[in-house]
Parts: sequence; structure tokens; C-alpha cells
Amino acid sequence: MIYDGSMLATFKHIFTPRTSNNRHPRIIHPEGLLALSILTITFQFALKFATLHTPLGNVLGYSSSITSSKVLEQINAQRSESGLVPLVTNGKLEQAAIEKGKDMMEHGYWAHISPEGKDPWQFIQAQKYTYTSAGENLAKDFAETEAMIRAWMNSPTHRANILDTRFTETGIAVVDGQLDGVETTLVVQMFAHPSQQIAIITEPDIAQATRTSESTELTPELFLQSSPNAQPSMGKNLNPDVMSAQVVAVEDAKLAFLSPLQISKAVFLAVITLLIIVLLYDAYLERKYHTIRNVGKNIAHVSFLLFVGILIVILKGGTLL
Amino acid sequence: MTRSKNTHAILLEYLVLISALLIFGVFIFLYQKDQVYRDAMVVLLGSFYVAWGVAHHIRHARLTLRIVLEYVFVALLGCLMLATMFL
Repeated sequence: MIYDGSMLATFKHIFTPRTSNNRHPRIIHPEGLLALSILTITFQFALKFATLHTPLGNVLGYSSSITSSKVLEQINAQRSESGLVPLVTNGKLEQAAIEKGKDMMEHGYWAHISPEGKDPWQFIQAQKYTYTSAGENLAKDFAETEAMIRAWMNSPTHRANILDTRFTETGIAVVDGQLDGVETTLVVQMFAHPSQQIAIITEPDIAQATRTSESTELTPELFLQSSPNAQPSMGKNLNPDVMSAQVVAVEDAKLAFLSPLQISKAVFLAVITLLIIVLLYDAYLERKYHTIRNVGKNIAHVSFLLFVGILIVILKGGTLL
Repeated sequence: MTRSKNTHAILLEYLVLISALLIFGVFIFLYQKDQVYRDAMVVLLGSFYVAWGVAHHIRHARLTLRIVLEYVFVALLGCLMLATMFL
């Protein structure tokens, strides 16, 4: 059949082997594959643009089931497995975590240190909380608490904070909102051990987001002795407003039903499925009619694309800091 | 090379391909939270696939520029999807 330009002929020309396409579907010619690659990258940037600069961004949310109580429960389960005492919630640390999350949303950054140079310890100190050691773990775009905790535990620096024997108190905030125009969920966890004395700040180790402050009034021995005397708050001073703010944030998150990541995954899987069907059909016809041609190996392409498709399905969104 | 030896060699090459894909998959999955590492593994994966295709065609079929391009663009498409999914 000669390619005559009709819609059906065009469809067959693109997706099935014919004389018009040299017995090889046009979509798996180098030109067709290049066109698909260009369309892929164009689609991704269009999606990114749409979420940032159009009203579409308001509906492309990120639905998260993470709550601070679940995070605390699972962090303490990890500590218990390692024979460590569980962390207790401190209202001031919790407020510091919330302020840090809000600050990232409002100023559009994703880092331990804000663009203005504000480090995590300043958020803790702003709550009049003094400490002998402190740490911060961050996570964003995780849909489930389990996946986030697993990612933290697989990261040496985050794991070190979670299993740090010095920390006795924590504050966790799950903050929903827009970061760079995209609906997302940020999780901020502050770790600390309280001090009875005013701490003097030393150079923080920002790379690990863990710092130990030193007091000039304490020798190392005294420092060790003072730690057990520092009474954690046992969550009694948890601010009710803070609790309700988090509940509202989680309720809002449930309104969001589709994330840019989910859209990308769906589109990519559709393209891969289409290509695999075309390749398998082409291989079937090649074998059936003993077509002689010099092209790439369909089975190899199918294996590669199938593998990419599986990775697209199992890879999760979410990043740590 | 006899027909059976040729078939055996082709099967072995596909076994290498599948094994390598699985190994790359495990590494990409384990280090998926590390963007630099993940992207580096994705680029290596694409490069390996093109190299496998070229080697396979040199040994068992005729290699042309269009065939090389076919492998390059299949690899490019897959790698672009994996690398840009989290943009």
C-alpha cells in the first residue's frame, strides 16, 4: 500500500510496518524516536510552567497522609530498635519546626539555611529554647510516612540524627502549601537536648544539619552531668494552636488530588506502553512474513523500555535535606 | 560459527543485557533520593544500552548509522523520562 495521506493511512504509516515506512513503523524510526524524546522534554517543561505560572498549579497538588504523630511514632520505633530512649515532643521545638516550614514556603527555598542566611538554630533560639545539641531533618513531597522514614534511615546523615543518643526532645511539623508555585508537603523535624544554661553558638556543621553548642561555664564532665538534669517537657507545653494548625494543613492537603509527578508518570507509562505494543506487533509481523530488513532489535528495545517503565512505577517522589 | 553456537551467543548477550538492566535498576532504586547519583546512573544505563546495541549488531548483524541512531534515541527517550520525572 502506498502512503496516500489519509488519516487511517497516516495511522498505519506511524504504527504498523508497511511499504510506505520501509516495513518498519515510523514511530520506531530514529526520527520518530527523536520526535518522542523532544515531545517528552517539552511536555515536562510545559507541565512545570503550568504548575508555576497558571491556575492549573492550584489543582496540581500533592496529597500527603503524613502527620507529625505518625512521624514521631515511627522515629521512636526506630530508636527503640536501636535500644535508645524515645524522643518526647517539645512545644517550643515543634513551633520552631513549624516556623522553619512556613519560612521555606513563604520565601520559596528548600535548604537548611535560608537565602537570608538564617540557619535552623535561629528558629530554635527564637522560641527561647536553649540546648546542648541540636539537629534538623527535612523532607518534601513524600506521600506516606513510612516511605519518608525509610528514606531518612537510608541516608547516613539523617539516620545519624534519628539515632543520636544525645537528643531527647523533638519537634515535628508537617507543613502543606506552595513551594515555587507547586503544592507540596514539607516535613521539618528538629532534634535537641535541652540545656539549663544559655548556649553559646559554635560553627554549625550545616552539611549534616547537626550542631552541638558548648557552654563556657561547663567542663565536659559537667556537661555530661547536666544532661540528665535537663527535664524534657513531655509534651505538656504543646501549644493547642499549633496542633490545630497542623490538622487544618492536613485537611487542606486532602483536597489536592493530582500531583505533577503523577501526571508525568501516567503520560510516560502511556508512551512506553504504546511503543512496546508497536514493537511487539512489528516483531510478530516480521516473524510471520519473514521480512528481511536491517533495523534495531525489537526484543532489546522492549526489554529496555519495560525496565524503564518498571522504574517509573516504583520510583517515588520526595527529596531529603 | 554454527547456527547453534550463534544462537547460544545471542542468548548470552541478551542475558548480559537483562542482568545489567537489573543491576542498574537496583542501584537507581536504592539511591533514588540522591539526585546526582540517580542521574549519573541513568546516563550510564543509557550509554550501556547503546554500547550493547552496537556490539550486538557488530557481532550478529550489519551495523549502520541508522541502527546506532535507533539505539541512541530509544536510550535517550528512556533516560529523559527517568531524569525529568522529578523536575
